[in-house]
Amino acid sequence: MSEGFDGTENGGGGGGGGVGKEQDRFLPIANIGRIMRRAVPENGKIAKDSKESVQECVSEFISFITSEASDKCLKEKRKTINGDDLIWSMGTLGFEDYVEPLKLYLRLYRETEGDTKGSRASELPVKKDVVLNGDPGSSFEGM
Amino acid sequence: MEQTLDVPRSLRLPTPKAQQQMDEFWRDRQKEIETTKDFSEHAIPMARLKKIASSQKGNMMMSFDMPAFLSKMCELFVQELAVRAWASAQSHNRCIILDTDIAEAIASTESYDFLVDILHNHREKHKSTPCSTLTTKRCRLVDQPSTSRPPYQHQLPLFAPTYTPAIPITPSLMPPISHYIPFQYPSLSQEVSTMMASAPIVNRSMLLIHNIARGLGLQGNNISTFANNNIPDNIIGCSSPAVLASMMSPALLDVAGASLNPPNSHSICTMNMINSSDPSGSSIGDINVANQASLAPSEHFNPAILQESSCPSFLYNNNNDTIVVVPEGVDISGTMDVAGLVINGQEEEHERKTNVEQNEIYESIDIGIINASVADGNKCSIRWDELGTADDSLLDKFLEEFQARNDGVLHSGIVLHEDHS
Repeated sequence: MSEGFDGTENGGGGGGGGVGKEQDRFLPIANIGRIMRRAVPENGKIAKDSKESVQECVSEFISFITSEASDKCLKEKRKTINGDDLIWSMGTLGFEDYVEPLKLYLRLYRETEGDTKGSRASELPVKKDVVLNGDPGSSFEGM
Repeated sequence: MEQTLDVPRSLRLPTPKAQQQMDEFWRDRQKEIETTKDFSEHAIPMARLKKIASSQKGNMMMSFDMPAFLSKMCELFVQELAVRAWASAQSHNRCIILDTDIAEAIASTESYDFLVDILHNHREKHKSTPCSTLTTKRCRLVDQPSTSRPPYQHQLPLFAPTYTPAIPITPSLMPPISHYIPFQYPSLSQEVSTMMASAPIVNRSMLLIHNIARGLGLQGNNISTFANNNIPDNIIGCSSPAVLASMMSPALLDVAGASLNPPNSHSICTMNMINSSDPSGSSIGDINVANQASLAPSEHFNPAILQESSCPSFLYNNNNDTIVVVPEGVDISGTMDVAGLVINGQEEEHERKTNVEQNEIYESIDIGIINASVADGNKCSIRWDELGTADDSLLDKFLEEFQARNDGVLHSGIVLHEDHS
């Protein structure tokens, strides 16, 4: 599971850049600490070494879930991983508790963000056409 | 020569309370997601998520919803791990989540088995155990500044979680630690000797007793010496070793009629050093001292008889509990020699030299127990907690008062005598 953690996937990066590349494999520790604090009561404190442990665990968790979803897509001869693949892999790997909340999140996200993405996608060809025809026309009226 | 730890799965079954806590956690998350309005806010940066995910997915592409989904997924994972670790910290009566709590949360959850290797590598990489290393300072002596020595770094043994599926443990990864077992007392019965040997001598820092007779040493710490003389209230608590040494001098003990070196007297006593408000911040745990009081009347207890154990198991207590073994029917009055034992930790050469020059590590304290029996036969214990100073003038004043009090006691019909067990 940890093939992606050999430190080579981010390029050579000799000299002082090595530390930065090392940290690129992990999520920012400040964000990790912020999320952990939200789950712990106000009187609770979180040691730095525990944040570092969670930081490594999260990266491994992402790789673990993603690689399973990737294998599924390869078997089905698809080239794009989507949220449904991740939900399937989580259910397969024993994270059943995550499935329902994340299904809900994915549905709501697609409803809100998907609409805006769709509208943007429909606007783009019109703009292209306008530009290609050499007639800026109405697309620049508001400028 | 690798060994694997196989813990039965029954140990990892969640308690009803923990299960209830997790059910509540997931219900809260569900409600939180239902009430989400803004999906553009993410707790974790998308670019970093894409980078980590792309290291695994090879040539695969990601749909537009995948980074946001990964962000939420990681958020839930971190929160769940934090909740489990918090429960672990609470079970150890702590309000801070340590590395050990993360390890325990991972060990107790079946779906987290894939993280065991990561945690193991994390410990190796940081050259430390998951438990944060204890930093203990020496007791600051009266004639030394608090900055005279760096603190000792002691490491606890490797954390063995409740459930670890097939973790290889190689002896080379274990931190260096010396094990000591108490000396098998020749004059005691076999059962008592066995019972004494089962109590580990644990010491997290060196007990420095520097010229106790001159009134120097351990100021700011309260030493309570408990000696079992088959009399439950024979307790002398003393804040200053100088007072203790003066009190237990032969001249005063002759008044009480206590014999200084009775043959074949043994004791195991506990010196409980309470944290002080000292500027040096000295923090010392409980110290168990196995004491052999003068097998030969003129000789002192030799610490060399504490033999190194070949036992591979660790002698330590996770909850810092003190293990005290007091054999029944053993007279403990007499001399007590306190040996400062360094169980764990290593010093540099120059530190060792300065220690030898500045401190006398092994000192003997002659302790006798003074029992005052009142006319009605009730025993009373003498406490010296109020005297926390080693000043000679105060000491002289105290001795004068003691002599006056002693005379008054003798005149009023209270007789000091040795209590024969």
